[in-house]
Amino acid sequence: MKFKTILILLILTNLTCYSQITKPDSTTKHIINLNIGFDYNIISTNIGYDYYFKKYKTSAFIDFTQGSALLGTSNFRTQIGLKTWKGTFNKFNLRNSLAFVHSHSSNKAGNYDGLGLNLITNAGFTFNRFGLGLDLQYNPFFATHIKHSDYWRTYFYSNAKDGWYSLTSNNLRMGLYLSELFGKHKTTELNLKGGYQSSGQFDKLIPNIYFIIGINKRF
Amino acid sequence: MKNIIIIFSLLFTIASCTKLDPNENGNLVAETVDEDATLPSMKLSSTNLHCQTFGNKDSVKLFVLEGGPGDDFKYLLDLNKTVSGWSLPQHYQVIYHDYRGCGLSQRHPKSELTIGNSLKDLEELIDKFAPNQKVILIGHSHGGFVAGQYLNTHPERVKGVVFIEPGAFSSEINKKLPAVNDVNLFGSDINQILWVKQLIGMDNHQKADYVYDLGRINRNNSGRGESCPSGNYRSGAASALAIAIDEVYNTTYNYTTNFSAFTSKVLFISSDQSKDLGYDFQQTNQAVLFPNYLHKKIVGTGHSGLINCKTDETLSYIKTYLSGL
Repeated sequence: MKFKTILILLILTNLTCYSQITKPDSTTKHIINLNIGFDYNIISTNIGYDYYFKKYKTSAFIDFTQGSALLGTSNFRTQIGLKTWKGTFNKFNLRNSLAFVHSHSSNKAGNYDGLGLNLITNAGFTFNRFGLGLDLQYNPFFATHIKHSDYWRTYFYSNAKDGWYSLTSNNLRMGLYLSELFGKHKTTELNLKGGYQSSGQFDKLIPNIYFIIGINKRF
Repeated sequence: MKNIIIIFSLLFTIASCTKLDPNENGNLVAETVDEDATLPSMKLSSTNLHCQTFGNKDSVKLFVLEGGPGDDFKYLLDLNKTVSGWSLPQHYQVIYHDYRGCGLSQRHPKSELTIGNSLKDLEELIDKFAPNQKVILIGHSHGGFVAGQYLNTHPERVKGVVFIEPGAFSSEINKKLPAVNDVNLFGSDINQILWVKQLIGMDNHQKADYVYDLGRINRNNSGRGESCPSGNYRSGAASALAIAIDEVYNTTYNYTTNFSAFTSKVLFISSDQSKDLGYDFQQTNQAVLFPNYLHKKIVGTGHSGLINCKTDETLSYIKTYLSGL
């Protein structure tokens, strides 16, 4: 019952990409952001920093994600990439992001290091301070190194092969975002993102949704 | 755009240089009977099952049915153990099989993974091993439910049944299950699976079974009491999804309508620590459906502990019951 209640609440709120969605203004150089939510973990925390190149309407960023339930267990993700607002005009807001992702997982079965990409497109409209639009994400892992534990070999599969595996996952997200700019100079943004997530046709054993609340400060 | 194409090309090159294919059986998960002809198997009309027998083929046939759905029979092999000079294989031909889509049996689309097909496969299997003979069934958890399905459909073919904390025999009884195993979305076990799922997708049986195995190895089973490490072949994620999640919870079924036709004694064995399928639930809702039953409680253990921790005690009750048939 508790599970169903939480699931329904998450679906109802159905809102969420990382950091700022609305195009930074001409005075912005630095952006710091904090995001929390259901992002391959409940509750995940993501912190990041962007350096904004006004001339190119593009920022270079780095971020780090850690799940609260897995704190201290060596399960984390880091991203480094670029975000661009090229294509944004008048009220139409277009933000594209491309990042290299490294995700590490450690559990009773073994250790996993995945290398992939995260492509995010946010297309929508900004009305003075309020914005809304689509959130589309594609997150494939092109190569994952797996080292299985002795426990796994003893109780599950003794012949499991260790090494680099090719294209281990294709994660898709389709959702919506809402954003609101705060402050006299609109330098603080609060945004919500969420929707449907799938890692394949059998990804139904666990809730296939995502939900992220983010706040960022530009200066 | 040109840069993105270059980056993708580079990553695809890296990916193609890696050696291992996650979609190939034998890498992340074991091969099934379709790929490994050396595995013991039984071909039925619509599937090929991983099936292993122990004991003399001329003895009375005894089928042991595993839990799940989605599990395999490896953990049940502890029941072959010799206790005080007695074992099941000494006196019976003991037959284990992985349900279709589970363990090392053939994989199927979700639409073919149903409780109806589980029964159909068991019917065919029994007809192949024991044509026109009466058989003995031992079922643990979901395997107890499958044994109940068979008993309800063919009471005349059953000599005796041992239910070890069986799953609910009807959807009405299933609603009475205490919800102690609801998923804790904030727990480390579910989050380990959620986290690794970004790395290993669930787009085919190989990867989905692997992720499901990761779920089993990291599962917090505290609501089901004491458990001991046990062997596993390979999960059946599609089966768990199709039966345990979709069919059992979203459809109506009832395999109790003909239990009264079975007048021989049935044996229930339950634990005190399993908070959902344990002794109290079985006594109140399931054992009483039979006109002639014996219900034994094993204390200090849980749902899987009945098989893998307190094996001797479980076998001693089974031995006594079988000797009285």
